[in-house]
Amino acid sequence: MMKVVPTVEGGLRIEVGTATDWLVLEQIAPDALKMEKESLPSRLSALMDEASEWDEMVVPELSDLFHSQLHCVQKIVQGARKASEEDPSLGHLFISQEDGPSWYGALNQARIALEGYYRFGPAQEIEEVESFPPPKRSAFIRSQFYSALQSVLLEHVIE
Amino acid sequence: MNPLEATSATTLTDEETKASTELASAWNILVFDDPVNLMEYVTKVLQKVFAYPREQAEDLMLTIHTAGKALVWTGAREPAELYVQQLHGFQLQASLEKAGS
Repeated sequence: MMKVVPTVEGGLRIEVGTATDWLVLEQIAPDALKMEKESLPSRLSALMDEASEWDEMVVPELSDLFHSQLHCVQKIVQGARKASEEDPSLGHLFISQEDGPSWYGALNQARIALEGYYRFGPAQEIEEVESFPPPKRSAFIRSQFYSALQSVLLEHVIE
Repeated sequence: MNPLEATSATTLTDEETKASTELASAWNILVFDDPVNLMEYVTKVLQKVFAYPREQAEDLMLTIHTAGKALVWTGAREPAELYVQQLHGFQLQASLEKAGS
Protein backbone atom coordinates (compact mmCIF):
# COMPACT_ATOMS: atom_id res chain seq x y z
CA MET A 1 0.00 0.00 0.00
CA MET A 2 1.22 3.47 -0.84
CA LYS A 3 1.89 5.76 2.10
CA VAL A 4 2.04 9.54 1.81
CA VAL A 5 3.88 11.40 4.55
CA PRO A 6 4.54 15.15 4.93
CA THR A 7 8.22 16.11 5.14
CA VAL A 8 9.78 18.71 7.45
CA GLU A 9 10.79 20.72 4.35
CA GLY A 10 7.12 21.27 3.51
CA GLY A 11 6.85 18.61 0.82
CA LEU A 12 5.60 15.03 0.68
CA ARG A 13 7.28 11.64 0.67
CA ILE A 14 5.40 8.85 -1.07
CA GLU A 15 6.42 5.38 -0.01
CA VAL A 16 5.86 3.11 -2.96
CA GLY A 17 5.30 -0.48 -1.96
CA THR A 18 4.65 -2.46 -5.12
CA ALA A 19 5.11 -2.43 -8.88
CA THR A 20 1.40 -1.61 -9.18
CA ASP A 21 1.97 1.55 -7.11
CA TRP A 22 4.61 2.65 -9.60
CA LEU A 23 2.24 1.91 -12.46
CA VAL A 24 -0.43 4.11 -10.90
CA LEU A 25 2.01 7.00 -10.50
CA GLU A 26 3.28 6.50 -14.05
CA GLN A 27 -0.30 6.61 -15.29
CA ILE A 28 -0.87 10.25 -14.23
CA ALA A 29 0.49 11.79 -17.44
CA PRO A 30 -1.10 9.29 -19.88
CA ASP A 31 -4.43 9.74 -18.06
CA ALA A 32 -4.13 13.52 -18.39
CA LEU A 33 -3.58 13.15 -22.14
CA LYS A 34 -6.63 10.93 -22.65
CA MET A 35 -8.71 13.81 -23.98
CA GLU A 36 -5.96 15.40 -26.05
CA LYS A 37 -8.21 15.82 -29.08
CA GLU A 38 -10.40 18.01 -26.90
CA SER A 39 -7.63 19.54 -24.82
CA LEU A 40 -8.20 21.35 -21.54
CA PRO A 41 -6.87 24.72 -22.84
CA SER A 42 -9.29 24.53 -25.79
CA ARG A 43 -12.20 23.65 -23.54
CA LEU A 44 -11.38 26.60 -21.27
CA SER A 45 -11.05 28.82 -24.33
CA ALA A 46 -14.57 27.86 -25.41
CA LEU A 47 -15.81 29.86 -22.42
CA MET A 48 -14.40 33.06 -23.91
CA ASP A 49 -15.84 35.23 -26.69
CA GLU A 50 -14.11 35.42 -30.07
CA ALA A 51 -13.04 39.02 -29.53
CA SER A 52 -10.67 37.90 -26.79
CA GLU A 53 -8.59 35.94 -29.35
CA TRP A 54 -8.07 33.38 -26.58
CA ASP A 55 -7.19 30.58 -29.01
CA GLU A 56 -4.32 32.60 -30.48
CA MET A 57 -3.14 34.49 -27.40
CA VAL A 58 -3.70 32.27 -24.38
CA VAL A 59 -4.23 28.64 -25.43
CA PRO A 60 -0.59 28.08 -26.53
CA GLU A 61 0.64 29.44 -23.20
CA LEU A 62 -1.78 27.26 -21.23
CA SER A 63 -0.79 24.21 -23.30
CA ASP A 64 2.87 24.83 -22.43
CA LEU A 65 2.05 25.27 -18.76
CA PHE A 66 -0.06 22.11 -18.57
CA HIS A 67 2.51 20.05 -20.48
CA SER A 68 5.29 21.30 -18.20
CA GLN A 69 3.28 20.08 -15.19
CA LEU A 70 3.00 16.61 -16.72
CA HIS A 71 6.66 16.60 -17.67
CA CYS A 72 7.68 17.52 -14.10
CA VAL A 73 5.63 14.66 -12.61
CA GLN A 74 6.80 12.15 -15.21
CA LYS A 75 10.45 13.05 -14.63
CA ILE A 76 10.16 12.69 -10.83
CA VAL A 77 8.32 9.35 -11.05
CA GLN A 78 10.71 7.91 -13.63
CA GLY A 79 13.78 9.07 -11.68
CA ALA A 80 12.47 7.64 -8.41
CA ARG A 81 11.50 4.34 -10.03
CA LYS A 82 14.93 4.00 -11.61
CA ALA A 83 16.59 4.70 -8.26
CA SER A 84 14.41 2.10 -6.54
CA GLU A 85 15.29 -0.51 -9.16
CA GLU A 86 18.97 0.10 -8.54
CA ASP A 87 18.54 0.12 -4.76
CA PRO A 88 15.30 -1.47 -3.51
CA SER A 89 15.64 0.33 -0.17
CA LEU A 90 14.78 3.54 -2.09
CA GLY A 91 11.13 2.68 -2.70
CA HIS A 92 9.92 6.22 -2.38
CA LEU A 93 9.68 9.56 -4.12
CA PHE A 94 9.66 13.13 -2.89
CA ILE A 95 7.39 15.96 -3.91
CA SER A 96 9.13 19.19 -2.95
CA GLN A 97 7.16 22.25 -1.93
CA GLU A 98 8.33 23.89 -5.15
CA ASP A 99 6.93 21.03 -7.27
CA GLY A 100 3.65 20.89 -5.33
CA PRO A 101 1.67 23.11 -7.76
CA SER A 102 2.88 21.07 -10.75
CA TRP A 103 1.81 17.85 -9.08
CA TYR A 104 -1.55 19.33 -8.17
CA GLY A 105 -2.06 20.60 -11.73
CA ALA A 106 -1.04 17.30 -13.31
CA LEU A 107 -3.38 15.34 -11.02
CA ASN A 108 -6.18 17.78 -11.83
CA GLN A 109 -5.61 17.34 -15.56
CA ALA A 110 -5.70 13.57 -15.12
CA ARG A 111 -8.97 13.72 -13.17
CA ILE A 112 -10.60 16.11 -15.63
CA ALA A 113 -9.59 13.88 -18.55
CA LEU A 114 -10.69 10.62 -16.87
CA GLU A 115 -14.05 12.02 -15.79
CA GLY A 116 -14.62 13.41 -19.28
CA TYR A 117 -13.49 10.28 -21.08
CA TYR A 118 -15.28 7.68 -18.95
CA ARG A 119 -18.16 9.93 -17.94
CA PHE A 120 -18.20 9.29 -14.22
CA GLY A 121 -18.44 11.75 -11.35
CA PRO A 122 -16.37 12.06 -8.18
CA ALA A 123 -19.26 10.93 -5.96
CA GLN A 124 -20.33 7.83 -7.85
CA GLU A 125 -22.41 5.25 -5.94
CA ILE A 126 -20.45 2.13 -5.03
CA GLU A 127 -23.04 -0.17 -6.72
CA GLU A 128 -22.58 1.74 -9.94
CA VAL A 129 -18.80 1.52 -9.71
CA GLU A 130 -19.00 -2.25 -9.25
CA SER A 131 -20.98 -2.51 -12.46
CA PHE A 132 -18.43 -0.51 -14.47
CA PRO A 133 -16.40 -2.46 -17.04
CA PRO A 134 -12.81 -3.08 -15.75
CA PRO A 135 -11.04 -0.18 -17.57
CA LYS A 136 -13.64 2.31 -16.35
CA ARG A 137 -13.56 0.87 -12.81
CA SER A 138 -9.77 1.12 -12.58
CA ALA A 139 -9.91 4.65 -14.04
CA PHE A 140 -12.41 5.59 -11.33
CA ILE A 141 -10.18 4.15 -8.60
CA ARG A 142 -7.16 6.02 -9.99
CA SER A 143 -9.22 9.21 -10.09
CA GLN A 144 -10.14 8.73 -6.42
CA PHE A 145 -6.45 8.20 -5.58
CA TYR A 146 -5.47 11.34 -7.51
CA SER A 147 -8.12 13.31 -5.62
CA ALA A 148 -6.87 12.00 -2.26
CA LEU A 149 -3.29 12.95 -3.15
CA GLN A 150 -4.51 16.42 -4.16
CA SER A 151 -6.16 16.83 -0.75
CA VAL A 152 -2.88 15.97 0.99
CA LEU A 153 -1.02 18.41 -1.26
CA LEU A 154 -3.52 21.14 -0.37
CA GLU A 155 -3.24 20.40 3.32
CA HIS A 156 0.53 20.15 3.60
CA VAL A 157 2.27 21.56 0.54
CA ILE A 158 0.36 24.23 -1.36
CA GLU A 159 0.04 27.56 0.40
CA MET B 1 -8.25 72.08 -27.46
CA ASN B 2 -5.18 71.06 -29.41
CA PRO B 3 -6.26 70.97 -33.11
CA LEU B 4 -4.19 67.83 -33.66
CA GLU B 5 -6.11 66.04 -30.92
CA ALA B 6 -9.37 67.19 -32.44
CA THR B 7 -8.33 65.87 -35.83
CA SER B 8 -7.22 62.51 -34.48
CA ALA B 9 -10.44 62.19 -32.49
CA THR B 10 -12.57 62.73 -35.54
CA THR B 11 -10.62 60.16 -37.57
CA LEU B 12 -11.33 57.28 -35.19
CA THR B 13 -13.05 54.49 -37.07
CA ASP B 14 -16.26 52.91 -35.79
CA GLU B 15 -14.23 49.79 -35.00
CA GLU B 16 -11.74 51.76 -32.89
CA THR B 17 -14.50 53.60 -31.09
CA LYS B 18 -16.24 50.32 -30.34
CA ALA B 19 -12.98 48.79 -29.11
CA SER B 20 -12.19 51.69 -26.79
CA THR B 21 -15.75 51.72 -25.46
CA GLU B 22 -15.54 48.00 -24.75
CA LEU B 23 -12.24 48.46 -22.94
CA ALA B 24 -13.68 51.28 -20.86
CA SER B 25 -16.88 49.49 -19.82
CA ALA B 26 -17.11 47.17 -16.86
CA TRP B 27 -16.70 43.42 -17.27
CA ASN B 28 -17.66 40.64 -14.93
CA ILE B 29 -15.55 37.57 -14.27
CA LEU B 30 -17.65 34.48 -13.67
CA VAL B 31 -16.31 31.24 -12.22
CA PHE B 32 -18.34 28.08 -12.84
CA ASP B 33 -18.75 25.01 -10.71
CA ASP B 34 -17.19 21.81 -12.00
CA PRO B 35 -17.06 18.29 -10.62
CA VAL B 36 -13.26 18.12 -10.39
CA ASN B 37 -11.81 21.13 -8.60
CA LEU B 38 -11.69 20.67 -4.84
CA MET B 39 -13.45 23.32 -2.75
CA GLU B 40 -10.35 24.15 -0.74
CA TYR B 41 -8.39 24.57 -3.98
CA VAL B 42 -10.95 27.00 -5.43
CA THR B 43 -10.75 29.05 -2.22
CA LYS B 44 -6.95 29.15 -2.38
CA VAL B 45 -6.95 30.16 -6.04
CA LEU B 46 -9.39 33.03 -5.41
CA GLN B 47 -7.18 34.22 -2.56
CA LYS B 48 -4.07 33.98 -4.73
CA VAL B 49 -5.43 35.60 -7.90
CA PHE B 50 -7.49 38.41 -6.38
CA ALA B 51 -5.75 38.72 -2.99
CA TYR B 52 -9.15 38.22 -1.35
CA PRO B 53 -9.20 37.50 2.39
CA ARG B 54 -9.88 33.87 3.27
CA GLU B 55 -13.49 34.55 4.36
CA GLN B 56 -14.45 36.35 1.13
CA ALA B 57 -12.81 33.68 -1.02
CA GLU B 58 -14.64 30.97 0.92
CA ASP B 59 -17.99 32.74 0.48
CA LEU B 60 -17.42 33.00 -3.27
CA MET B 61 -16.38 29.36 -3.47
CA LEU B 62 -19.58 28.33 -1.68
CA THR B 63 -21.66 30.43 -4.10
CA ILE B 64 -19.92 28.72 -7.02
CA HIS B 65 -20.60 25.33 -5.46
CA THR B 66 -24.26 25.92 -4.58
CA ALA B 67 -25.42 28.26 -7.37
CA GLY B 68 -23.25 26.77 -10.11
CA LYS B 69 -21.40 30.03 -10.72
CA ALA B 70 -20.34 33.25 -9.03
CA LEU B 71 -19.38 36.73 -10.07
CA VAL B 72 -15.90 37.03 -8.59
CA TRP B 73 -14.64 40.35 -9.93
CA THR B 74 -15.84 43.39 -11.94
CA GLY B 75 -13.68 45.94 -13.69
CA ALA B 76 -11.99 46.97 -16.92
CA ARG B 77 -11.60 44.42 -19.70
CA GLU B 78 -7.81 44.38 -19.79
CA PRO B 79 -7.15 43.38 -16.16
CA ALA B 80 -10.19 41.10 -16.32
CA GLU B 81 -8.60 39.15 -19.18
CA LEU B 82 -5.38 38.81 -17.20
CA TYR B 83 -7.31 37.48 -14.21
CA VAL B 84 -9.22 34.98 -16.36
CA GLN B 85 -5.93 33.85 -17.89
CA GLN B 86 -4.62 33.15 -14.39
CA LEU B 87 -7.83 31.32 -13.41
CA HIS B 88 -7.54 29.14 -16.53
CA GLY B 89 -3.91 28.49 -15.60
CA PHE B 90 -5.23 27.11 -12.31
CA GLN B 91 -7.72 25.05 -14.36
CA LEU B 92 -10.82 26.82 -13.10
CA GLN B 93 -13.70 27.37 -15.53
CA ALA B 94 -13.93 31.12 -15.84
CA SER B 95 -15.42 33.50 -18.39
CA LEU B 96 -15.95 37.18 -19.03
CA GLU B 97 -19.21 39.00 -19.67
CA LYS B 98 -20.04 42.63 -20.08
CA ALA B 99 -21.52 44.01 -16.86
CA GLY B 100 -25.26 44.60 -17.19
CA SER B 101 -25.61 42.37 -20.25
